[in-house]
Amino acid sequence: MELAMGIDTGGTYTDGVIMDLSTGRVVKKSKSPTTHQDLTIGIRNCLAGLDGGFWKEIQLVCLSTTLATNATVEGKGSRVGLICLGHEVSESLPVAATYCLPGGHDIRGNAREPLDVEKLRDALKRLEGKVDALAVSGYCSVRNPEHELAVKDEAERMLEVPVVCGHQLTSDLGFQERTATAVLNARLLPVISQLLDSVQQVLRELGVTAPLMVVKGDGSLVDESRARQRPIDTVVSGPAASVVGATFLSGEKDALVVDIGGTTTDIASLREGVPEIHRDGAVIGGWSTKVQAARVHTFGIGGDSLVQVKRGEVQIGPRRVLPLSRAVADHPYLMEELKETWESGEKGMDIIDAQPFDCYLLGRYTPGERLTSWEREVVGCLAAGPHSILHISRSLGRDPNLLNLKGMINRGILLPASLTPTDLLHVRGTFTRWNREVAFLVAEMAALRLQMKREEFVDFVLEEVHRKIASAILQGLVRDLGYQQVDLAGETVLKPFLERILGREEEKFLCRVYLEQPVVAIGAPAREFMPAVTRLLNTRLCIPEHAEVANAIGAAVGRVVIKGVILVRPAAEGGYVAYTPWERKGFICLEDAADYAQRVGREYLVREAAEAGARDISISVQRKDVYSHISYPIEEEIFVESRISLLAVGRPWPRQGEMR
Amino acid sequence: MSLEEITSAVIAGQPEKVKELTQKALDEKIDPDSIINDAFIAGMNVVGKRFKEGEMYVPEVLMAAKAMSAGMELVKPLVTGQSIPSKGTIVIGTVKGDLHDIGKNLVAMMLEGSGFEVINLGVDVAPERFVAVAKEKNAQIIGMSALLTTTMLCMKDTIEVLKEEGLRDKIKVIVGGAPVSRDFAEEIGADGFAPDAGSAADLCEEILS
Ligand code: B12
Repeated sequence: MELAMGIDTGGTYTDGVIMDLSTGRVVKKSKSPTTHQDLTIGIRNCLAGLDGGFWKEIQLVCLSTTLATNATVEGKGSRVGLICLGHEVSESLPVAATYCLPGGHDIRGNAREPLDVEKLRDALKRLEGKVDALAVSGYCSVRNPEHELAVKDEAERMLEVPVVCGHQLTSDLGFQERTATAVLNARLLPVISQLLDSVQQVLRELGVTAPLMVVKGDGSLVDESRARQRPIDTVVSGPAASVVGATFLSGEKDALVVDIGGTTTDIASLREGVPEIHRDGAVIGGWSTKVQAARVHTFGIGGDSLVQVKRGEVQIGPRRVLPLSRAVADHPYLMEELKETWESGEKGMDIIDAQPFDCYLLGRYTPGERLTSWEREVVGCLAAGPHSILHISRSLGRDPNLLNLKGMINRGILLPASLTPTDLLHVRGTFTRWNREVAFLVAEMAALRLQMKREEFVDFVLEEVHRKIASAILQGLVRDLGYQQVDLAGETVLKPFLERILGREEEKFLCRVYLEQPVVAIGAPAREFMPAVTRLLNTRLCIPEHAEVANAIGAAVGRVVIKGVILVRPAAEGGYVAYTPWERKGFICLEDAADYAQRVGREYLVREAAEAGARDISISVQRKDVYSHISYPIEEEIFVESRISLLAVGRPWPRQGEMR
Repeated sequence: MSLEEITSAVIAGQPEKVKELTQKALDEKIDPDSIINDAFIAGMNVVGKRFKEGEMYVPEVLMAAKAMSAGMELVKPLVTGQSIPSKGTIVIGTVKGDLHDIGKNLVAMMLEGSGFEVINLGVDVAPERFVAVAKEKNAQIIGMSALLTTTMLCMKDTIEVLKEEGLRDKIKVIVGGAPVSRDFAEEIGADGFAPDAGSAADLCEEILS
């Protein structure tokens, strides 16, 4: 047995799982509410559910956490001082103080101006005692980090606080995003350390002595000590962990992962075991960064999407409502109100922005939020429990068209309950957790508005749901190809083809697509919707077991991945320059530069992978020389650059007898 | 009179004659736009082509450009005077280390002629300068020219400076010059390439549409 434990503290639930990696079997799983005030409480509860006398045998613990994301969004973290070299930030960042000092490099890594040590010392002196960490960001520092490193040296000596450099977190160009990444990382240092301390405490209490690793935004794992230095890497790890977990359960290495929830359908892709990464960095708490995160496309279609019948047409989503079958299960008297509507002859009436069978619940109301006197009347009407729109209209003595509830819905004070795909599944009988009776009634009412029979209406709407999901998947794939602006459903030229692909039309010609990858589907309604969707897209479908703890599984089965790139380019003065993540170095001939880059690249991978906690490391260092064609004055090839791509993949697994 | 006469005079590099004919055309109420497009630019297109094929030499090309400028001086006030809204602002220059500016100036002239506001930075322009001026003038396009295989790679530098400053999505980049190919333009991540001044104007319109 090779037991690994995965823990995922998500937005709502903290999931845990113990897996036997030698067989891929889930040994134990558990779910308990996430406790946002103190995540360790939820983790403790979750671990209690995993107890099976395995604690001593667990060899690895992997944690995926939303803590860093939440802390950033909520503005928590330490006081950070920022030193910019040679450029100012264009968007304000969450810092205690900023100093913009002379320094920085040009795009080829030549110093634009010397570092002004006097000014630097002056700034550091003024920061003394006022900050808990320092972020340093130089213009073009990824082309030559010498100034950032010099500042770090001086600052560590003078301030004795941790110093974070932009070039150490990313090798991408983009001063603003790089600076934001460094600042947010510096802010998160104590936040992540506290969490890891208490998790380690909990593990010790249970007698778990295995090493602790943390999931990164790209789905790979890093050792706990590394995560303490680079907490920003652990931001937005949830989606990646879910992709890794879902595909692991399905046994696929290459797959499209479709997660259907109540509100949205999320689509991501896994290639050769690694989630595909968003080309631009992640946006966290409103700040654009260079953080690597899984590329997830989100569409407003899910089990609880609003189904509206308007002017003889059906519209599904993007708004989410409470399924009526669920509302009636919780508040049975609503059934009586809706029966009244059915019998009163008002069932067919047209109401602006609503349907005659809609019901409303009281949502969250923040004290201090101002309400108009009318809004107070509405709230009063619902204080004792939800009611149907016609009931509200009658008891307040206003025409249903004049209730003006939209503003309150948008502010979250009212929650509408209405017809959803979930209700239609209740009619069909394939999913019947809540009240079926109301589903029959409401489907009948909606069908009437289309002059359809009830069963015919249900089939029609559910087929539209399948088409919508299929079309969302295609849209996601098109965006993956780089066509960010293309809106498939909005392109008139595509309409005749899309209609046929989605099976709405068959006249004159047929059109089919065949997805390259199989689909792994998770989420509550996946079993209901996805078989029809994958038939439309002509691909295999896998709905794995244990999918409800996919994130925790993704954490437990993650790998250590280190990536990097070294560029070798011709220098303006002649000769060649190698740009590595830690230095800029000149050479006379290309071969020397490329050999050097490959050698130090390999050393870098070995070092980084070991520090990240990897074993059985497989390393790939690939050199690609890029030439381009010119036709004048003679046909020839000119050398553009040599790209040395670095990749190390390892197992986060202690060798036998090497447990810490 | 026919515009072809003006075209021939441009090709022949006769500034005085071009001036005279242009004035005549204007007196005859020929549309200034048409004079620019159908006479001047048409002429320069021929010049560009002949030069490429070795049928014309540098001094002749320069004379042709001079001839066109002479005519342009008469027409331009009318065109800008009509306050035709500028089609967009373009910052153009020859890259760092490169002093060849004949082709680049032709492109600048053509762009101006077809209604763009052109800011010509001259020769030996550093990547940071292209970006700083484009930023300051709110330009939509940066146009770069390079004639030497050793200076071509500086175009990539400018594109990377745009990335470092977070402006890559906002400012488009077009490149040209005798050794520059479409393949090269794509490799360095430029938004467009044009082999001659006439198509450079089309390219800019396409990019901004
Ligand atoms: C004139 C000339 C010079 C003049 C430049 C005068 C001036 N003010 O421009 C002088 C004498 C100064 C000169 C110097 C040198 N030159 Co010289 N020069 C030429 C020559 C003969 C003509 C270039 C020219 O003007 N063409 C005419 C224009 C109209 O064409 P074009 O530039 O291609 O532009 C068109 C298109 O490319 C396009 N275009 C151009 N720019 C842009 C920009 C954009 C955005 C777009 C869309 C389109 C576009 O539209 C234009 C109009 O249709 C060429 C040889 C040749 N036959 O091309 C050599 C040539 C370019 N020179 C050459 C060399 C080597 C040099 C020197 C190094 C020589 C030396 N050893 O000193 C120096 C370098 C100086 C420096 N640092 O730049 C070589 C380059 C070889 C190479 N592949 O690298 C060439 C090709 C000669 C050769 N066959 O060896 N040169």
